[in-house]
Amino acid sequence: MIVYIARRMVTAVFMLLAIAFVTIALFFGASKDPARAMCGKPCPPETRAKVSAYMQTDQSAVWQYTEFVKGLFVGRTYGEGAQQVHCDAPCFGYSFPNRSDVTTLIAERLPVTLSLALGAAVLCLVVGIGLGALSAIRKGGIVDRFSTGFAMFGLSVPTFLVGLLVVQVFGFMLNALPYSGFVSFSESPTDWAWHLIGPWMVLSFILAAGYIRVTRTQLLNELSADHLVAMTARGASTRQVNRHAVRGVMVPVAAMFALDVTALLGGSVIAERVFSLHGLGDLLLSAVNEADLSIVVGVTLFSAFLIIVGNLIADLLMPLLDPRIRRA
Amino acid sequence: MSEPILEMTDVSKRYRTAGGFGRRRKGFLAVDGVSLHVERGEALGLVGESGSGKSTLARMANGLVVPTSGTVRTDGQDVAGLSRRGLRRLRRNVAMVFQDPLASLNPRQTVRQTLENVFRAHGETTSTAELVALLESVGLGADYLGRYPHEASGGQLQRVAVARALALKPDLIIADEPTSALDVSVRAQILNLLADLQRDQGISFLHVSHDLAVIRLYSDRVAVMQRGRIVETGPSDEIFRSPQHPCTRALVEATPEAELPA
Repeated sequence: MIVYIARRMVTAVFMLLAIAFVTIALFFGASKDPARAMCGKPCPPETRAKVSAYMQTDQSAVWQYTEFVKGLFVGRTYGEGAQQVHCDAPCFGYSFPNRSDVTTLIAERLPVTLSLALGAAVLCLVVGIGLGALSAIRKGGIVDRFSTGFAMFGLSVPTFLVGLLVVQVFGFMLNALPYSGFVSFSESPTDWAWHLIGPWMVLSFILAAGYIRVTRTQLLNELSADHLVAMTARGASTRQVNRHAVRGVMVPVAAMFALDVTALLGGSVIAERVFSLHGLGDLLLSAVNEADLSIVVGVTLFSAFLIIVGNLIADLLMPLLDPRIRRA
Repeated sequence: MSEPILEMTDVSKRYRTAGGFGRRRKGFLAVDGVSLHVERGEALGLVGESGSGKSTLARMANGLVVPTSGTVRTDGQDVAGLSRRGLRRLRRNVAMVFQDPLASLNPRQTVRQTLENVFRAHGETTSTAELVALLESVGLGADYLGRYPHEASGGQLQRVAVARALALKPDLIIADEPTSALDVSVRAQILNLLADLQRDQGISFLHVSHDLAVIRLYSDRVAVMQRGRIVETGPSDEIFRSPQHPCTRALVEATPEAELPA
């Protein structure tokens, strides 16, 4: 087991390095010049060249990449003399427009995105599994019809539209929820939740649809499965039978959740925009607009890291839920 | 003579069918006024073509299917009158073996867990020695305890399913096509096992099959079903020798000439 985790970790490191390379290469393929964005409105070519040299963006993508990897271990220093900036050992790059190293920027924005993603994850799991299970138990009933329609709607409507609708209806028309802003949890837990209800609803609305569907079909399969009929026929109580049915449902749900870590991060980019929350997604979007390479690479890598960890956790969880995988 | 282990009187089962526009829900009459009984220690074979209602009828014996009308008395109790708890107690004494062993065993549980579940369902505990003895009584070694269903063959799994039925010593086993999902080569082994259990442990059997040859060799009496009704009953040999009903005749003629190894 430990060997397995170690092997997965090593693979993950190489994967992240490859992702960093692709990101840098793609960035340099784009026509935007980072120095142009930095040097201001009247931008004579000499100043621009100077800025470019200072930010080290005049070098090739391969050079950028090796510098980046080196920076991870020994840190990185830009410029000379009075203008010199240093970025400490695990250096993920320095953002000149923000005058801060990327690690600090990510750490600043992380609580927002994490609050958003974790809350939405909990909400969509509770709603998705709950509605899915209820509709399987009373197949064809009111709950079933409602949640099947709900799932269909959720799967077919784009996130930003739901976001705008929530802002419009709850924020402006009903005046029931705040439509922007973020209050940190340590400041006031109630205000924190209050400001996040809207974004949570938007994010989980889309994601819950999948869980409703998977839970419903899987539970229906399980409940009519021969081995559970056999248990009943041998005298097991409904509760004992249900417990076995639930285990059968957990495996695909866990697998799906691992993949949805991506969707949570991707969805939060849009939700952050709609609700003017300054999280990682917002950081990444503005960085792309300002041609801020360091942030783009940093945030991309960080997201990739979260996704890899999410998948690893799911892979480790799977054998606990389904012993057949343990043997394979 | 003591009371039969299973006695069904004039039972019917109507399944609801999906209604459509302007169509009346008529329902499908799967079992139509059937009466039959299984004496203690007897093996009754229930044959019929597919869709004749034999599985539905068999599942009424342990309350898996609730009859629309008629009474079912199993093990001296009126099944319709039993509470949930009463039904569970009845199922301790009336076991069932299903057609497809791979489907009827939980894929996520070892043989040991599957067997232990029976004891747990009735609030009993068990020991490894007891489980090993149970496996040995169906001709499997102790090493099967740790296996998952996908790690054994169909014939071995059906033996496990029989072991599950035998746990807690039932008086009646309902075998619903116990060999039709198996290879021909292992069919006879499973049937021999069931016949031995009937002979040595005095367990009664309600043996459902579409194959008259199978029924003939391992049942004392035969009931032939067609379209929800029993069309003919009698001792196995007699039915086989001089079938009266056209349906029975068709089944007999469909049986290959060669004898199965006994």
